Amino acid sequence: MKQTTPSAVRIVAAYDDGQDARHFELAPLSGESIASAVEPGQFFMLSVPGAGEAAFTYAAPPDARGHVQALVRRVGALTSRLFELEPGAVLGLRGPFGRGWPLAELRAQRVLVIAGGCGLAPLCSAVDHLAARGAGALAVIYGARNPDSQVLGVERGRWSGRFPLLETYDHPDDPDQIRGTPIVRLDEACQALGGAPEAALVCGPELMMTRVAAALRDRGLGAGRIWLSLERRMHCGDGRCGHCYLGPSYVCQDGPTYRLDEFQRLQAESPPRATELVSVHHC
Amino acid sequence: MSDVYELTGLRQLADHLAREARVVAPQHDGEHRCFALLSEDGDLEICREPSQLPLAAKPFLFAERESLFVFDGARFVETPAPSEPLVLFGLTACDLTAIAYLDRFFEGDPHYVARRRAALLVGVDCERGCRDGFCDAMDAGPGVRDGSADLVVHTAPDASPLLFIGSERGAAAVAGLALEPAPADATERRARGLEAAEASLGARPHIAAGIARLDAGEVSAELWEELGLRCLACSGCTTVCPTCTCFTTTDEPEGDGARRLRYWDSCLFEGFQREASGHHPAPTAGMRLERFFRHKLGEPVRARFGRATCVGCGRCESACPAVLGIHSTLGRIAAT
Repeated sequence: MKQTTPSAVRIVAAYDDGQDARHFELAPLSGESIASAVEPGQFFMLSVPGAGEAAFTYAAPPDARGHVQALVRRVGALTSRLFELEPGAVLGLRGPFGRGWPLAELRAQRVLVIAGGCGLAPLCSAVDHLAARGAGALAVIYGARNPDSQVLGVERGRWSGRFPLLETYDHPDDPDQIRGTPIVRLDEACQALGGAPEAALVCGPELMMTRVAAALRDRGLGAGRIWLSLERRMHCGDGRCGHCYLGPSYVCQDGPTYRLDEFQRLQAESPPRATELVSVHHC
Repeated sequence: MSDVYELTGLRQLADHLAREARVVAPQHDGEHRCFALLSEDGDLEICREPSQLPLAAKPFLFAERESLFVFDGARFVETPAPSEPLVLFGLTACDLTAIAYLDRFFEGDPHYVARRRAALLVGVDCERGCRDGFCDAMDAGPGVRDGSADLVVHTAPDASPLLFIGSERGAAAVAGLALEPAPADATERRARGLEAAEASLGARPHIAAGIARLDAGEVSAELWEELGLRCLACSGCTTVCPTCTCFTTTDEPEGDGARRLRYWDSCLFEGFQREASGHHPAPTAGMRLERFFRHKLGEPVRARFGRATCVGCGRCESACPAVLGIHSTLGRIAAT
């Protein structure tokens, strides 16, 4: 049977990690168990009792003690309630759900990772995995609204010097910082990789992802070598509630990671109308 | 189905089944007709009426609102669905086809499975087609499909009802009932009856033509938006649809904690896909309407579930105050 009642976890630690974003460490209560086998890019459903349940990514999979790392941005009622809670507060966790990044396919390849805003979180443990490979080059482009809104400071600090990490800002603070979306540093990233990327993993606002994907396609990367991670409203996480549909696909089961060609085929069933552009907010 | 018997009447079967379980059957409830607990003086002849009940028996298997768990301040404690034996009596072929789909869709959903395991399904073949029904076009009726019911009753004017055993569970449920073996021509009689029922359904060319246009990608965004302008987002269609499964969840405060409830949701509601960030993958009523019809009829969904998720009951046609039911919409699509 599917797990519809969450396991109880408590907040062990929490710290601010970017504007309106917090990093949470969650641990199962004694007597409670949570799944330990989690692939980078999968997600869990987090219950904030009284406020409801929503989907969040594992910034890091459960460690040996079962501690889970999560990066949460405050955007609505549930996350606002979560931000009021202190360490020790009890939450509910179900998961893992969905399909993660295709890391087994990328073993020795030149991989370009492109993240926008808190879209870095679903890529975080994939970057750790790719950086630890014995072979294959890695470069990361990370775009944010401004330096204050950059997330995962500890993780980025850990990555520093291990592989090229190129940052961009919609609104830089000083002239040394590069203004623009990650696309403005695409050619530089390709050079840093030592050649055109053989695969790209992209996560950010949907509009940003489609534009980045188009820029990668312009540089010769096939649609079968680009992967995106989508965000959708979800009320179950395992293919029953119906909310996260993408054509005939459910993002919670078939995604959240899609290969670009799959995503385009599914989206073709109900192409975005011009009005959608109005409703897109940058993460 | 090999074992066939003759019944003295529908009551004979219902009364026997009522000894072991609650029996829910189509009933006249004042001015309405609905599935309800069968009363002692309840008239089962309603099962033979050639018109669809406005609501399917779906809520008895997938509750409109139910508790999933309670958070007591420290732990999450599951609140299981009721599992007392229940007989769903007088289900039409289309509704049974819908339940077979629900069984597949909600496989692994503990609340659905608990209710479903407790339910014995008794189907009744339709003697005639109903006003909006097109079950024949959707391979869902008017005869009860093999394997979709535990017991199947076939009625005909001026003849005793025939009882076909549809499953081992159905056989066990009538084990204590003194049944007369059916006449030798019972299966043939049923086949003739179903042929006549199918013939009474009439041609509905806009169904196949509309689905073909949908599959060919010939329905423009402009047409969907034009139709969408009329949608009131009242959720009438998704409420009466026997295969609509979407739900949402909400927490209600309780003691020191909270109770998680789930209840039916509708993909036609504006906020169905709206995210906390403001991102909205289906921001227009036309997109949401298109989604509804593609999900019921489209080729990718047929490939995913092995059949269309529409069973041709036609309830949405009566329910929609904006004339966007399946006949109206497919008719418009076919004519464009």
